Amino acid sequence: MTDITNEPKDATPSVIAQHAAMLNALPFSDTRDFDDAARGFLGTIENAEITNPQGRTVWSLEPYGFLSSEQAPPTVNPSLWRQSRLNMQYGLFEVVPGVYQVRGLDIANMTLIEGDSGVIVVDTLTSIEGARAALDLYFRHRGLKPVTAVIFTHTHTDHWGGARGVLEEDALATGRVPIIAPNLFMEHAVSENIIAGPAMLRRAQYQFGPLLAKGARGQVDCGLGKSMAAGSVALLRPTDLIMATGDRRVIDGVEFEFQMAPNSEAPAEMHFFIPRYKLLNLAENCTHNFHNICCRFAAPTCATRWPGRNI
Amino acid sequence: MRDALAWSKYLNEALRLWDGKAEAMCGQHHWPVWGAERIGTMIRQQRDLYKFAHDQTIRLMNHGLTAAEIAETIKLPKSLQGAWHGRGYYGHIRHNVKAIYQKYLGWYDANPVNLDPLPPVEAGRKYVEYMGGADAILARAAADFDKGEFRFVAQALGHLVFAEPDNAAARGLLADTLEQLGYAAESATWRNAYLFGAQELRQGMPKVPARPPMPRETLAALRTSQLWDVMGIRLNGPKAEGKHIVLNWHFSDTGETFVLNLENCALTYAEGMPAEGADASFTLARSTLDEVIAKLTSFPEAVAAGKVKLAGNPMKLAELMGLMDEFPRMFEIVEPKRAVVV
Repeated sequence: MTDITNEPKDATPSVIAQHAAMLNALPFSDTRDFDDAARGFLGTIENAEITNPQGRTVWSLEPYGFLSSEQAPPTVNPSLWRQSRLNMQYGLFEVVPGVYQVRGLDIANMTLIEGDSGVIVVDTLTSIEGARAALDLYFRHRGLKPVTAVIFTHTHTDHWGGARGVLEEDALATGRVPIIAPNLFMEHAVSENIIAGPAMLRRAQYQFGPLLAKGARGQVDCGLGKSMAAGSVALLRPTDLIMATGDRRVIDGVEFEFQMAPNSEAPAEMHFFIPRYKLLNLAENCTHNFHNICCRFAAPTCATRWPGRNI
Repeated sequence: MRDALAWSKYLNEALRLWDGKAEAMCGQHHWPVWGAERIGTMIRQQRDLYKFAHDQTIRLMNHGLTAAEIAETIKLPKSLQGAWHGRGYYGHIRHNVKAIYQKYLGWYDANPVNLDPLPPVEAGRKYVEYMGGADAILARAAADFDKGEFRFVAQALGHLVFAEPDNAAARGLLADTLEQLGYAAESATWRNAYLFGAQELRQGMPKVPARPPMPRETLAALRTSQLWDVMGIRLNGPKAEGKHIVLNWHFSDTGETFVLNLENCALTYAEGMPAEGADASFTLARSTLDEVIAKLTSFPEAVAAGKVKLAGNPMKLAELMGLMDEFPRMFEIVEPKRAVVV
């Protein structure tokens, strides 16, 4: 029996043996994911550090510097260590010429699709501060241009919380920039979280570990990304709902083909294909992990705000 | 509840619509995949991951296995086990199958032993008594800990901590046990859960700042009926015993009329016609109500500013609001509740 202290302990021999077995069982020599996660890198923000107007840090990957070591420590499962390292590739990336992603500035990605006169923003991260920083990073490398539309792929906060960070006040007031979302977006965006919010937020502390120290004996990742972002959230009402599979829109000169995927990863969710860029986006239904089916395991998230959130 | 079967069907439909057409596939988490062949392979494997989990869970369920037994039995096929994007970093096969089971059959496993068991504190005390007391449990748990039998050690010590939350040795050994489970876990969410449980056993619940009110933009996005739904789940049933309150609401900006009705300790509402003989009637803008909820103003201040027109006895609204619970930011999870909640 080990001593009673408040400090994290070492891994025991049985855990170390389990890790060794996993190293042998899984194809660690296949490193294509690392190539893909780094491909098209254009630039980044140092440590992905984002602060709010009061100077408080709402996102930073600086505490995850310990993940630079290729070999997993005895206190972290080696398969999880691998995923945690993959989720450390952060910055602006070219997917194909004309399509870009900001990754690692939030648990979710922002996808930027260039149109005839500006850029279409697909998903706006968790916070206004994060979305602003992601769009600024894109502008630095691709030039300043107007946001010509915003698309929400689904109802979870890390995909719409920062929308105000990419839309100017006058765009909001005049409604000249369409906000496109799957049918029943508003009904689900808040209702999924609002009734059980207080319980979900407390459970989220267990699921995402925001109050754990980050480190080899603490939090290393969330699977889908690093952690929950803090910062300011605001829900904006869509102006154009996608109703059916096969619906098309020409947005800033770019044709989109949509597929509805309700009650999958989210109660309202959609996929799209862009013929011009030969680009397929399956939102959060085809990720690099087995996703969570029991969405209230400890469903939702961030420790700092109300209402609770699913991710 | 997320629907694994629908999920798989959408991925199959995406293949029918676009297989071979895409040269790049990106999602809203993680990194993209390039090349039609690799894209097709990934979508097919993901499609089959959710289909396999769904179908095999139901197959085993129809053989009579319960959720916990299915979770212990099911193994992904080798072709999916070896696909990195099939690994359970966020979900996990063992908890996902329980969710699939629950979607069809609910929480009950049909064994009447589990129909109305004692809750954790009462059961914990009896388990400890039957197992010969805390010291006997701790001695066996320490021996099993050394053998790496962390899952059962956690299960047994969970009973002891609920029976004796101030037993430092029990808390310490349970924390050590959860920590080893966390170190072993491939799922990030499992690791976080285990390690945070260990931390709370060692250090107690962290202090966190009070929850801020809901932002106005979010409130404005809510339908008025959703505001009443939230009020309903805040109503403290026992406190409302014997109360009957009827309030008319007319929102001048949205044109909506609602009757809010408290009786039988349940808060209901009806849209359309105001109630005759209501205790009070309020006419105001919905945006004013939002400001009150966002705590940018108070109801009396809004009345004083002329933003609310009143009829009847407005103190009935104060009486209703006095029956509303505030939810705590924190509550115990790995140990018994310290507060008495009724």
